[in-house]
Amino acid sequence: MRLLRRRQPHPEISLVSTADVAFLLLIFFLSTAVFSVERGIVLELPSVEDAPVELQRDRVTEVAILASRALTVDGSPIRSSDLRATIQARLRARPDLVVRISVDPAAPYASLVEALDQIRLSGARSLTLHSASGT
Amino acid sequence: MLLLIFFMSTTFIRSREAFDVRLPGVTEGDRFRRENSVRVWLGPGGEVAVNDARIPLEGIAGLLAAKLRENPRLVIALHADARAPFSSVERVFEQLKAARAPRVALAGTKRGAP
Repeated sequence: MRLLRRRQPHPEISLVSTADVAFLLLIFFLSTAVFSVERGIVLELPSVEDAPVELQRDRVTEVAILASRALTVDGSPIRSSDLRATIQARLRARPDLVVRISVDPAAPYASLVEALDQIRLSGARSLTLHSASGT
Repeated sequence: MLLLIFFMSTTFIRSREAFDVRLPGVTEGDRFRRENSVRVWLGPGGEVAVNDARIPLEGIAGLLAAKLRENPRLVIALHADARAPFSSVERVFEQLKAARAPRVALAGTKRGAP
């Protein structure tokens, strides 16, 4: 007499549901997560212990930002698209140039960032920032 | 699955912010890591928050000075609204100066080069 051997089913984990959960998690992270790297203009501030530096007048160029967002460089009106080239030209003549940015208190913050962005792209590395009110 | 692991390891969950700000655009800018920074928010009406909690303007210097004592390499990330007047920004700068912040990042969003 032959005994019938019952075939044991192979145990296995269903991967279909695992893939579904992973997909849902992926959608969750895509919709709710933000990257940990941010973008901006990084400025190194002078230490309060640093002694004030006296600068020669010809080493300084003044960029003024008016309340209307208009720009002047050393008193001459300039378009914001020309700021980078203007500072670059002055840097070629004077590589240790210091850019003094004077901002009207009513000027919007965006106009300052826009000017700083262009000045940075021009290659200038020394900046001073002042309020046009004199503070 | 690889994408899931990538997003889990490189992202932060977006937290609720104290108020909405419209950041100015920058062409390229520097990149800085959020975990090494304290976020100072400035709204269009001069309202201020540090790390998504509103505080009075005069409280910024003390709070930042304490955080800088714990981590002197901390970057102060200023998330100021593009429409905020410079006078408001200047008052925040005064607080940063009082806190002896060595590094400030003016946060912005990427825009195309002119």
